[in-house]
Amino acid sequence: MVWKYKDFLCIEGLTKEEIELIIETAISMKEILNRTIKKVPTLRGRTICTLFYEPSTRTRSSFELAAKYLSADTISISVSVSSVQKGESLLDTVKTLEAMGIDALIVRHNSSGVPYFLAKNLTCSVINAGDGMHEHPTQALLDVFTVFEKKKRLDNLKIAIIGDVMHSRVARSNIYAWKILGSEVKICGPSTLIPPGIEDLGVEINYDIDKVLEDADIIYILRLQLERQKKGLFPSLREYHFLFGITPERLKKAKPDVLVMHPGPMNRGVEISSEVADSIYSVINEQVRNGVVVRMALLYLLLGGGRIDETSYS
Amino acid sequence: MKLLIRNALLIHPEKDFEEKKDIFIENGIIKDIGENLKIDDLQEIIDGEGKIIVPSLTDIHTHLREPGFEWKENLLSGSMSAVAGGFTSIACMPNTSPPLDQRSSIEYIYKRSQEIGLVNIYPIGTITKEREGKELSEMGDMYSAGVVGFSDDGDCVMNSEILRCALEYSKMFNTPIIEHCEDTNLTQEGSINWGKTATILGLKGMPWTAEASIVARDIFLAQLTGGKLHIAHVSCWQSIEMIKWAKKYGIKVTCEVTPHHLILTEDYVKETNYDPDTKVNPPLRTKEDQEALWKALEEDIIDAIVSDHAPHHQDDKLKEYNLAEFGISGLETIIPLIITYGHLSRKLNLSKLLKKISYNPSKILNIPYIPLEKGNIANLTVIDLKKEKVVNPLEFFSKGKNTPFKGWRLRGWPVLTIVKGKIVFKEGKIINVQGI
Repeated sequence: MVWKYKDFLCIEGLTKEEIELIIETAISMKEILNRTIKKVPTLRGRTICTLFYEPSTRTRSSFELAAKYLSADTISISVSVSSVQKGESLLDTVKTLEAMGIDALIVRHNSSGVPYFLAKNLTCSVINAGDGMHEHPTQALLDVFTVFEKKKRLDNLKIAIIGDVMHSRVARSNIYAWKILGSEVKICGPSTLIPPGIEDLGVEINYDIDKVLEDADIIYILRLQLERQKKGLFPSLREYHFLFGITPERLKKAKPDVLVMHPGPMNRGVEISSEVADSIYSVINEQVRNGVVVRMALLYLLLGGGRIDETSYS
Repeated sequence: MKLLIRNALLIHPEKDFEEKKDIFIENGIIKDIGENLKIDDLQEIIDGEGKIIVPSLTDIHTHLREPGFEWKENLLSGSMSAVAGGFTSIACMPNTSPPLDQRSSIEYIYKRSQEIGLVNIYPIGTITKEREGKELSEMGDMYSAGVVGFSDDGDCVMNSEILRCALEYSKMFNTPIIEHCEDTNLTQEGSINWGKTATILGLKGMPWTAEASIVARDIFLAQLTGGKLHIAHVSCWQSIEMIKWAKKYGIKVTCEVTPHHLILTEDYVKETNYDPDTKVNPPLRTKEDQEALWKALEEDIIDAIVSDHAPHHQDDKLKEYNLAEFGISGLETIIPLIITYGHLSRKLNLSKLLKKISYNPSKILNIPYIPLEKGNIANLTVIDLKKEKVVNPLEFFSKGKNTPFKGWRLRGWPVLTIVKGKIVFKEGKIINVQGI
């Protein structure tokens, strides 16, 4: 099986086989990442550009390192020091970059749908590194890969997603991924942060955190954006922590082999206690490491799949 | 000019009646209507087989963007678009820059539209000064200058006391208050209907409640004051239920619907992968709402069909979905859309359907309506029911190419428009334009 799309925009609509292909590819990439000399020549001569309209530590550096380990050239455009500040439109910005010969554009944007808009207007590959409240597909892939490493399976698991599902692209991508793979998803959070119609994606809504934690194999804790409180969506951070914060006491009721995950960055003491974040159940740092791995796999499938030979003629 | 159209189906919306007849027009006057008319020295005979003739097609909700946003549309391009769309009369909304909130602006619209001389343009004045929703504009002065309605369209009059005053005050002129019903506290940053599709696409939703709650408030204010209320672009079934209730109690309320709310749902935003041309306010809603709108149209709860023609420049649309402007350029597709989907698919009677875009809207705004009768000045449109064409925005006369119907194959296109005795549009070409 080979990857057949120009772009990587979302998890929704992928098949089980396509996700498994990425995971299998990631397994061999992990082996590369664990070497002392990490560089392979697979994407030599290819150029990858990251364009981030939102702040990011892990996603951006993860993509850049993934590209570098595969020997691609990378450039990164920071919106704060680019011509965007002079009022250049999004389309003009990306057309400019494309004209310089990039092979793939990795984009993060606060407007949902931007990767589709770019894919429609560009001939290079477009990879979604998070768009608004829509999807963050590579995050879901690294989460799935992390679970696979620990649990050795991807189906018949019980996933509990806790927190601000409404504004979370991570939640949406994870819901799609786990449903495609044949696992069960429960979501739990303040009712004002549960989006309308989410049950149509095949998830169960439950507002009782302790019930949800009881039989979960994975506790996936979402980041709470602190400015949501100002909009009246919940009364206070204190009450949020009281109702939905994952504390050591709460974790006692969970299964002994439960995994605690968080996409980062964390608000320690709000959605997750430090004791939990740093506990033996937590795989948060593995998630970050695996971010590089799945992104290497994805870049390989999109840009280098079956064309490794090219490098020997150059 | 001597023009004979043979064997066309004449639609008489004001009488709910259709007849297959010949119609003879000489020097702009309908000289005869009958069977097998024999006329000497004819300059032109049109075979009316498969064609219908409708009097005084009227679109009472358009945005012509002049003054202030001429790169999106102006009175000339808007006029050409209107007659190409088959209209003899249109009303234009006052959300220009400056807004149409005083006599001089109203006079300018009349003066300029007469220079152009294509379609009758009737300006709507603002309800409040500068459309700020704070103080009533000089309604009486604008009325004497010829406004046919008052609206802050694009924005809702959120202050209930101001709207109460507007409904009370406008009674003196028997002119309707046209409300854009939207509780903006509920719709902030929204760009699509609230619900499942918004959740999936990750876009901020605008709930039906934002519309229906204001519809309810406005109906009560109309009941309180006895003023005339016209509700713009209804989009959800809850609004329909409120209007049904109001009509039952004899409250002076009328309402309109757009073809995009009749034909599209929120699903189309997803199907087109965030095509900004699907972004419109009120947003495209659900299948359930769509069915309720068609039913209300059939049951005459909905009085009028309008385009809500909202042309935009590509720079205002070709961008991030949540940052793109709201609106659809609709004048040149509305007739084939309602014929294809209302008449051909849903089998709605032609005179009933077309009454809502001719006789009814002209009565709502009290603007001239000229029936197809011997001796009347010809003010009519010939529509070819058999003509099938793919919507190509690049062929629009409007500067706004923003339509979600691009590439759609539609039937029933206007082929001849005669405004007050003058042929202004024929077989794809604008004729007799002045004032360029």
